[in-house]
Amino acid sequence: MTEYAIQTEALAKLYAVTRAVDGLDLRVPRGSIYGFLGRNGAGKTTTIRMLMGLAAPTRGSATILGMRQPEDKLAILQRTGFVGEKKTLFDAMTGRDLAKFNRPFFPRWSDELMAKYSRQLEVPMDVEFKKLSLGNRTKLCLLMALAQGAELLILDEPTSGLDPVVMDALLKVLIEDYAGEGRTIFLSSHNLAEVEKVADWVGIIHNGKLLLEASLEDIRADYRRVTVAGNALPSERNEQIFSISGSGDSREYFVRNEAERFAAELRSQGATIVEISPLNLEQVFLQLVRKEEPCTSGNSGATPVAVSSSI
Amino acid sequence: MYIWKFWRDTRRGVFIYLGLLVVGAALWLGAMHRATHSRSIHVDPASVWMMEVGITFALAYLCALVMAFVTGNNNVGSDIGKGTGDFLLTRPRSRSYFVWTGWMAGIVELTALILATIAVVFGLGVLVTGAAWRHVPSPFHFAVGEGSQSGSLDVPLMFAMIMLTAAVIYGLTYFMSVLLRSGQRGVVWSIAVLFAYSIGSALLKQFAGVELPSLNFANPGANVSHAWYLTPNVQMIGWTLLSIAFPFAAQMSLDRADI
Repeated sequence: MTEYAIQTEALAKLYAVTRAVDGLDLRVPRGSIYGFLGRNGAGKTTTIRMLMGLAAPTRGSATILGMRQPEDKLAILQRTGFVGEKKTLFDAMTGRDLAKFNRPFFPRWSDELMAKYSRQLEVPMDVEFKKLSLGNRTKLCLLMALAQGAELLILDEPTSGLDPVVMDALLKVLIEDYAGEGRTIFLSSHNLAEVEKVADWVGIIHNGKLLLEASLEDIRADYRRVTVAGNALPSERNEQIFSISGSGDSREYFVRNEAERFAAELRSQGATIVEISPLNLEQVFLQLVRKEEPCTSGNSGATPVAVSSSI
Repeated sequence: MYIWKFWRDTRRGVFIYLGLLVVGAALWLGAMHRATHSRSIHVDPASVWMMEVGITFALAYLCALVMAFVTGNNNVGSDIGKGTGDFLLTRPRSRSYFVWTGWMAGIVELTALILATIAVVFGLGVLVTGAAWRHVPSPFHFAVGEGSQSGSLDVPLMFAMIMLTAAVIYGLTYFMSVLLRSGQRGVVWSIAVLFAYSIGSALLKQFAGVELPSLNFANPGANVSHAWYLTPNVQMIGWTLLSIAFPFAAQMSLDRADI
């Protein structure tokens, strides 16, 4: 058994003039809840569609649960639950009809799980899909994926458009029930607060490239903002500094690790360290993706280097 | 399970069609009954038998064409068009499974409906006019036309050709729906293709003297003088192969497509 639930090598999807996904190297540890973050159009959905075999990569490869896509596509689909971006099921079918349709496809399908989750999520099982609210539609989609008994859940924006109560119920089921049993959840989102609440790993994609891949624990422990005042401050990013803002005599450095050592170096060059503060996921995300324009003295952008911690 | 879904999606249409068929046939029966009782004209059994066959053929042909378009637009392509492709095509089955299972289910349903139509219309005809075939020397073959235009009508072949016509049009609509990912667009484009072919072949014949195979292949007797005339058995094989080519084409287009 491989240590990764999902692993991609230089995965790319090119359309006529667009690089939707551009050389993606993902490593999703087994048993993790992995938040796949990015702005609209960053390449999240295209990546997920390639993972699920709905779109063919232009180049590169993807391995899911140790099996290669597309060679082992059917075996992958048997063990992977998927909720797509559209969250559309057959209009005229009720939850029970959908379960009847789904059951024969999945050897590990569990009616007990379906009953349990439909109670927990309060999904009306006897109402046609087209008559359900958005929240109930999303819950029903998730319910179908959960009852498969899948080892891996791939969810594309699972909570978009949901009210906070429904979102909370969904996340609760995912974290406490599903992931609690050691299975892997890969969810794409641009809702940072939601991801920070549930995920233990994150990957940030922008313009089809992976800007960062790290555990949230590492981000909380090591990622820092170092506010500095002084003359002739460095303006170049590197492996350690992933973003710089400010100009002239005052700058903010966003560093991945060893903030104290970095501060000590600056101090030794005559700079004054105003503050070293921890970063949350939102701050890291914004620093990484907020600007793709060329670096200027006042805005040095982000360094697109993936960082991976040991599992 | 995909067959169950197919039946679920189409059963309402099937029941409505069967209901209309029974009601329509009953009305026709009544009209025929009144007509035959109000006139005391002697008609020979061969003519009565020809009429029974002719009416059954005409109605079954018309209904088969309509049903072929209607049945052909329900498939994996229309599911993708409705936004359920993500869900359907992430069930652990190959795309060809969905194409071929849907096509087979449609063919079975179409065949059942055509047979039901033939049985009802023909049965009512016999009920009204009597079992004329007992009084004709050759109930399944008729000589038609005169001189160089003469030919033979093979009754079982005519009905087999109805099935094949329906299968080809069903296949074309099926393929178009998968290609265009919409049942409605599939029907519209299939009709457009058939029209374009008919008009194009008429223009070619008129201005260039070139004849293309006729779409009116359901009546083999009518094609005797056609440049592309082939014996009925060869025609049947050809149209059978064509009807099977469409799901192959649908499978190839779907296998290569990003959903």
